[in-house]
Amino acid sequence: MSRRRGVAALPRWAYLPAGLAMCFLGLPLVGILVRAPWRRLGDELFSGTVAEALRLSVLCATAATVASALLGVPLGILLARADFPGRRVLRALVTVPLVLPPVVGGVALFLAFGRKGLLGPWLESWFGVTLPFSTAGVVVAETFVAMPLLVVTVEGAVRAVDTRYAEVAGTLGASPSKTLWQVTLPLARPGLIAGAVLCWARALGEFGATITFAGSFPGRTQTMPLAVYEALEHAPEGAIALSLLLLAVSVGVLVVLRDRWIGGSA
Amino acid sequence: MSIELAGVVRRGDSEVAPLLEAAPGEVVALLGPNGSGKTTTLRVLAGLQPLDSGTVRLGGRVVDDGASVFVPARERRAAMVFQDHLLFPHLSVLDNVAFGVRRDRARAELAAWGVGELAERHPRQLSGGQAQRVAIARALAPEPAVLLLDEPFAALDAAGRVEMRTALRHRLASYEAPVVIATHDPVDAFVLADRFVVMAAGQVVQTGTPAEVAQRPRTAFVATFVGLNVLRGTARAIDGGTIVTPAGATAGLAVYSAHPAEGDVFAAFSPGAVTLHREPPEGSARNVWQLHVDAVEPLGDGVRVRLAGPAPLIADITRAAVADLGLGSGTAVWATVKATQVDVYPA
Repeated sequence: MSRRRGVAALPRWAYLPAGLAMCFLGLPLVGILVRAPWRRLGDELFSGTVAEALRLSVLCATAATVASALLGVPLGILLARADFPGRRVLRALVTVPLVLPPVVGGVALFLAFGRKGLLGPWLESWFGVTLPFSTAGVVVAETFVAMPLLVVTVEGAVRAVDTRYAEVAGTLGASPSKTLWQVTLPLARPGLIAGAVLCWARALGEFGATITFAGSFPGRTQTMPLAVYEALEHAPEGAIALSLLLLAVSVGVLVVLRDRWIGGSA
Repeated sequence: MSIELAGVVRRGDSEVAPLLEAAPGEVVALLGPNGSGKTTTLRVLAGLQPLDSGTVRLGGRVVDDGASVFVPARERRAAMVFQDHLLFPHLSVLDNVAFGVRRDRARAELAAWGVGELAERHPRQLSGGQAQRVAIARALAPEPAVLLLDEPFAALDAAGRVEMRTALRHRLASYEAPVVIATHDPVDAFVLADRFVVMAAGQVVQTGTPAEVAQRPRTAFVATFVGLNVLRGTARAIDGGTIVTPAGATAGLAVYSAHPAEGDVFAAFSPGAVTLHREPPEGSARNVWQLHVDAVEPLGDGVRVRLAGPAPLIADITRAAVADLGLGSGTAVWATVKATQVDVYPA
């Protein structure tokens, strides 16, 4: 025991700020757990507007994850494997939404897909689609914010796969598509799953871009985070119940990633 | 299908200039130290590395002209076996071999390599030798027009190497495509190859039959490379091993090997496997010969001792050992070789 402490010897004063940091990060979570309306949890979560927000959130986050996977996985593979001019610029561009304040993302989406945006009028006249303040708009906002996480994770996962596996597949007569589906993607699977989970969690918690681009209309665009924000004023118990749910989802995501990412085998 | 390759691959400041021909059924050993361009040559043939200039012809058809023509790997029917087997870790043994062929064909090839019962296992459950057998089976299953092997036995232990080499030699005997095998193991080259292509610093420095290259090596690498102790004789099983007796020789020349063999064989061991003593050695070594020193030559950072007597041998030892033993021309010595270090293969 004493030997072990000797190895990790830290100056004593360091324990104080470290302990404070732990309290600072932990206390708000404890607050949710302590103040949660445990007895009426079921009622709160499955009553009218809250249940609607929950349903809408899961629906939109899942749709955003599917959209992100369809577009983001190929982009991640491209960034990892293809060699083309401007790849660094493209990678930087992909990571912009990761660091951009989500509200700015919402504004940017307006300028692109709004009624007077770059693409908006075309979408309206050709397909009759109006994205702002619609459920589809929520999906677009969440995809914009969450897809980069998937792209970056997939890129890292594909990059970690030995390129010679693809070469072996080639010498065995496999087409590039067969190599991708049967060799590269299966070998990158843990990263793909991690990327999708991260993407889904990020989409589920999305607030700024959603409220800016899609507004907060119950049943149509009001997802859980927006509902929490609104409920806090007039129905704080409902807000706490929803927060508890989101906290549980976050913990669940961490558990999944721990198994898939750190402990899991390929 | 034949191979004709003459070209240049540039990489920054250095360049590799592969130059190689192989007829159908011919086995060419590509020799040279690490970094001499062996792997690049194989990659050029496989279609994994385009030439910067020059031409690759497979079966007379130009598959790479260094400019507009480049036939990718998947259309060349050139199978490549890598040093570290590279079995797909997410697929079973059978699915690995069946990657490019029907499953019954895959099962047949696995059975031919004696690993049919491993079909349902995953690569991580295999030993190094088993994995390499599966890798070779996977390469051969589609009946490739060209077989390329990059240091195929380097990751195996001595016993596994002997076994694999014998199995491959057996398989190649009935194989009609050209085979190119990159190796730094002299025994691999002498056992398997019909012809040597020697590379150094990216250039081909010598080509010829094994005998031609062995008799007149043109680089220090080849001199060391071919500096094998080889005896031909008749093998007989004894005490769980083999005794090889050269025809018409005295008993003192017999060589013991721990590996099984019979009939007309070569017994080979490397100069590095020979230990020298001034006194008759005690212990269990079976291969003990009393010889005398013919010549002592520096070799790399060690010393090559040429021994004369009933069995002329070469021994590679350290400079310190030369000083300890007080070796000079004419010194009487006992030479020993462990039976496990003696490789035997059919002549």
